[in-house]
Formats: sequence, C-alpha cells, structure tokens
Amino acid sequence: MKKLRQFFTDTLNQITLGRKWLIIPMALAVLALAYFSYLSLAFSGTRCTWGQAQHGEVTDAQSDCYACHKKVTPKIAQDWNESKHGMLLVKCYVCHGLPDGKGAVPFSAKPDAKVACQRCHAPAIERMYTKFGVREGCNSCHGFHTNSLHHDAYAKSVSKQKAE
Amino acid sequence: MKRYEFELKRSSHAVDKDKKPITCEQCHIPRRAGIDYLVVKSYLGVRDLAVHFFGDTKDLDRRNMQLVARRFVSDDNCRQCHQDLMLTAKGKSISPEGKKAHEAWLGKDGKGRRTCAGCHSNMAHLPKFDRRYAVNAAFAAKLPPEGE
Repeated sequence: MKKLRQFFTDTLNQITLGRKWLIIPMALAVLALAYFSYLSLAFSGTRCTWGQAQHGEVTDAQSDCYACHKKVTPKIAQDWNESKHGMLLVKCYVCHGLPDGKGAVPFSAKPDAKVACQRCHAPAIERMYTKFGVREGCNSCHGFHTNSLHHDAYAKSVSKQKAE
Repeated sequence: MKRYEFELKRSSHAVDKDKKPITCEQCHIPRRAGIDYLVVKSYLGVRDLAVHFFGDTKDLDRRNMQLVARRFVSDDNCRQCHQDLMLTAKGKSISPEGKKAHEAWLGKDGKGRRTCAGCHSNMAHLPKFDRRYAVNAAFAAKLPPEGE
C-alpha cells in the first residue's frame, strides 16, 4: 500500500515537474469526468430497462396481448392497430413471440429485426438490397408500428420521403 | 417555455387535489435536497440559459425529446402525490391491467422497472403528433387545433 502511494506521488511529481499549473487542468478533468459519469449513471439513456412482468400468470389472455396492452401501453397498441400490420391482423406474437416461450419466435420486447422481418419480407428485402443496399435495422426507415396506409396520421417514414 | 406552460395549464396536472396550481419544478427537479438536486438544478439551469441565448427555441425536436423525457421526471416527485399506486389520485381503484403493471413496477410481479414517465407520457404536455391517440382525446380537446 505504501509502495503504491509512493509510486503514485512519484508519477504525479514527474508529470507536473516544474509545471505546477498542470494540476489545475488535471483537477478540472477529474471533476468533469466525475460530473459526466454521475449524469450518465443517474439519467441513463435507455428508455426501458427491460425486465418483464410475469406474463405467464396471465393465463386467460395468453395470446390476446392487445386486450391488455390497449390499456397498459395505449400509444403502442394504437400505433399497431392503425398500421398495415394491425389492419392485416399480423398480431404481436408474429414478431414478439409468446410469453410461455413456446413456438419458433423467442419472446422479446425488442425482436431482432434481421430475423423477425426476414420471416415474411425476405423477397422484398432482397430486391431492395440489389437496388439500394440495406441499412442497419429496418426500423430506422420503416417504422415497425407506425407504418400506416394513410400517411397523414404519421410523419412519413424515411422510406416514403422524397430525396431532397 | 411558454408553449409548455400553456399545455400544462390545460392538462390534468394543472392543479393538485387541493386545487393548488402545480409548478414546473414540482415534477422536473428532484425533491430531496442533496447531490441529485444540485446536479440536476445546475445542469438544467445552464442548459436552459444556453438554449435561450444561443439556441432556437422554436426548433426543439419534440419527437426525439419525448424519447428521453423520462430522464427529467423523477419517480419520487410523482410519488409525492400518487402515494398508493393501486388507487387513482381521486381515491378510486384502478383497472386490473393497471394493477398488474404497477405490481411489476413495484417488483412484486416480475421486475419491470421503467420509470413512471416511461409509461405515462403526455401527462402534462401534448405535442401535436400525439393528439390523435385515443388516450389523449380529453387533453387534446382542451388545446387549440392549430399551432404546436
């Protein structure tokens, strides 16, 4: 412990040798780092630290997600209901899986776009790839829930905007 | 800032249950006097000044602001008024779906720990693009159809 402290003070002395003013920017840097790390820890950027409510206990509504989520997550439910997927009754479990974990699609709030979209849209993705190339994550251009037939309801998705 | 005040005064959070007006800092600044309070107060203050003098306040991207809005509403502030999560502010029992979700928040059922504002958005502010939602119908009716 003593050696470590000696080593630390020695290095600090060597760095600031004859340049005592260096201690001020160093202190400022340490303070700034502390301030930044506190802010980023206290207000994390992720919207949802995702831990699931125990869906398995809701036995009477296992596959009818919409009935409950219309009340619990009303905006997302309405987005889906008005979207192309909602109109064609492509229900939640097609992409999100079922809470009991049975079936081919794993239960997930954030399904892997590559796998989930490929299931149905593989030919279209291939065509798009040869024409335009593919960007990471389908959602950045084609909103999963907000892909509506009538575009007045939403801001146009990036894929529908004309290049300016 | 006027836009947000305008919306707040027409929202369900305009007055508390004793009919006293609710002010901005009651929700947006942590209540406990401590390091949270100091850091948030200084950070928001400096940022507000910077935007006021150097930024364009008309050009705020509310769609993207909404994604991080929950970081600026502390759960403790909500719990000051909403102490019992199984009741509404007026003392009525909430729906079974709501109870389920709040139990998850409390950690009794699973471990869904979003913050209050992570689920309950548009409580005091309602941007134009959110007015079409059925849950916001009552709030949207109080706001003028034109304008932001």
